[in-house]
Amino acid sequence: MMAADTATMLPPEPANRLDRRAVSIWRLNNLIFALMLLLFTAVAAWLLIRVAGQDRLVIAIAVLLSAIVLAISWFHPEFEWRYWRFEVREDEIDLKHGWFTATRTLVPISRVQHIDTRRGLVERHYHAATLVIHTAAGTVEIPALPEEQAASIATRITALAKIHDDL
Amino acid sequence: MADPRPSDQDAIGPERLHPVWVLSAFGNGIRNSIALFIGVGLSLRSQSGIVLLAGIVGLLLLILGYRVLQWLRISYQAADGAVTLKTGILNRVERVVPVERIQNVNTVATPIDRLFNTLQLAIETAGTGERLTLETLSFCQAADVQRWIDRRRAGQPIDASTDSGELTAEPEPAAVLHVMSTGDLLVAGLTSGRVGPALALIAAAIRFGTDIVPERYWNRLPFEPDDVTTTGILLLLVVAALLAWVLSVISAFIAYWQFTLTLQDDAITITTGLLDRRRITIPLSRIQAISIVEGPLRQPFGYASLMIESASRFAGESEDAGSQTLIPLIKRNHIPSVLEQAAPEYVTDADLRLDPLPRRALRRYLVAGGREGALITGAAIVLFTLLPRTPWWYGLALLPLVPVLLLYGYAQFRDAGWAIDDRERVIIRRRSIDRITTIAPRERVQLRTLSQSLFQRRADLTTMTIKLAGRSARGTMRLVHLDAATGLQIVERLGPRRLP
Repeated sequence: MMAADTATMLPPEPANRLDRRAVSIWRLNNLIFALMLLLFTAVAAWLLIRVAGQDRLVIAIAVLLSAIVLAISWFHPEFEWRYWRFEVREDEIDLKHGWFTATRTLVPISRVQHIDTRRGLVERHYHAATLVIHTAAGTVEIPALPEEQAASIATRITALAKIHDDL
Repeated sequence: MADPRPSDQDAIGPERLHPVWVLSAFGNGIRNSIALFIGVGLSLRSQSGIVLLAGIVGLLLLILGYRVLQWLRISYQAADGAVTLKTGILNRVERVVPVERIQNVNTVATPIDRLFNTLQLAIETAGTGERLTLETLSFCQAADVQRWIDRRRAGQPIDASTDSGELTAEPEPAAVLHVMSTGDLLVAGLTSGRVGPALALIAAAIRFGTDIVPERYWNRLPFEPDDVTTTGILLLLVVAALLAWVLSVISAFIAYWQFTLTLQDDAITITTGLLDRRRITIPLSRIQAISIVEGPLRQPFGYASLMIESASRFAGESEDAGSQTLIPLIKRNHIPSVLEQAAPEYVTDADLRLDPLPRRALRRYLVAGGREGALITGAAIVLFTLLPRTPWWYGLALLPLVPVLLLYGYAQFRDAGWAIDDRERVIIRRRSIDRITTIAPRERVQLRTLSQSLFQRRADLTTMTIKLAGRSARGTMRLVHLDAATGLQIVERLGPRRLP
């Protein structure tokens, strides 16, 4: 067995938080989805009332469900943001996120194949972008980065990957 | 770097496939349009025999004509650093695979191919696994294409002695590493483990058959349903088991007939198959990891199968991309000696010692097993309560599932283990149904993930996932309920930072 002290220690968590805009972007995305869900609930409730006639019960359940959905849409992004950390080091990309299940993923820069910059409708409105980092084993994402930061991180990773290639 | 490509003096094509293609495509065409034939037959059934015959012959001619037209339109070309295949009568499709993207070139010979001395050449590419198949080439054509690719891929000067031109009927390889005997095939079939699911299905069918099928159908049976005693059902089960076993032995014979593993110029070649003869070549440098897979029927007898994980796709294993059987059945204690020759990087001791999961993880595995068993039994009770004519306690028949799943949880705990050895390889063992031990060099690791739920955080446990290139299921190694500090330590040691 190798002694543990020969390996460089990982920091307890990656250094950077996401931009605050992430919360707004996620909220807006969630609300768009929630609105569609509410519409669907309303139609379903209306149909149920027509068929079963249990007005109060159905309305109560529909209102409760809608309230839960809206609450989750509003508060979840805040939680998500609070637990999101990322860091691009010279040799490795380090990501950590998740409240109930905390997931930490490490991607050696030398394994990066290419990087996509994805900008959805909502993200475009906030001048933000998601970096999608491709490796031969799958992709990882860093969401809601300000456009300039996304571009600079992408350039940095590409440059670092090139250095590793030459080594 | 200077352009290593040889000049294009030896460019091939555009050339047509071997005319036998029309024959096999014609056969496929008939098979695919069975419904059409039945339709024609039915609509002409009141007509005289001659009309019917004319209809069918007409249909056959139509298919044949279509295939001939298709054949005229298919051409392949190997030039300008890429293999190109053009197909299509109305929609012209052109597929180009640059030589740099070619992972390996495999051959398949169907029975028709073997009759006419032709071959299929499957050109595999990396990653997402697109494939260009040149169906039905003569041996000569196939050898030309293979040689053309080999020269450019290796970046070597054209040298007649390194030609892999022996794509002739019986290739003469350098070193035979493993051959499967008829006895091996028999054992492989008997222990393949496909028997279990088949049995369960049959048992379920019988159970439900007696409950759901209306009584009047049972009355038409040549025997009295009341006579169906426990012995009768047991007898039926035994017959079904034998049938399932015979089927799996037959499929083992078809898949692994004359299985030969050879090593030649830093590439492993597997030749196998009774009906379709496949020849698969894997350059040693493309191997990402090796897995030892011990099925529940094999492990007690000391048998296992060896799998190669690779970033590319292999002919005939489309459902599990990136994974290829290296040896379908082998005695566990013979593995080191075969690997010593085939892939010395992956040799491990037969009595490999792995670090286990912490004791406190056991409770979680047992709780998970018990919970699943209870849930399934509960669901069955609910189902039987809702179904008419079945008392709820039928669901209790699934209660034995609880101890089985508890035992399974225990087995998962006991078999899980890890090691990073002095040769910088990560070795991870875990159990799904089979016990799988994967050995991967440290530099093959692509992604490392540690995840920890709130429950795991309380017990200081973590779930570690190590991913290799490709999409093979075994290329994703996961250990659930590992000690959190140990997980972090493993992830650190597999990181890119070189040790001082």
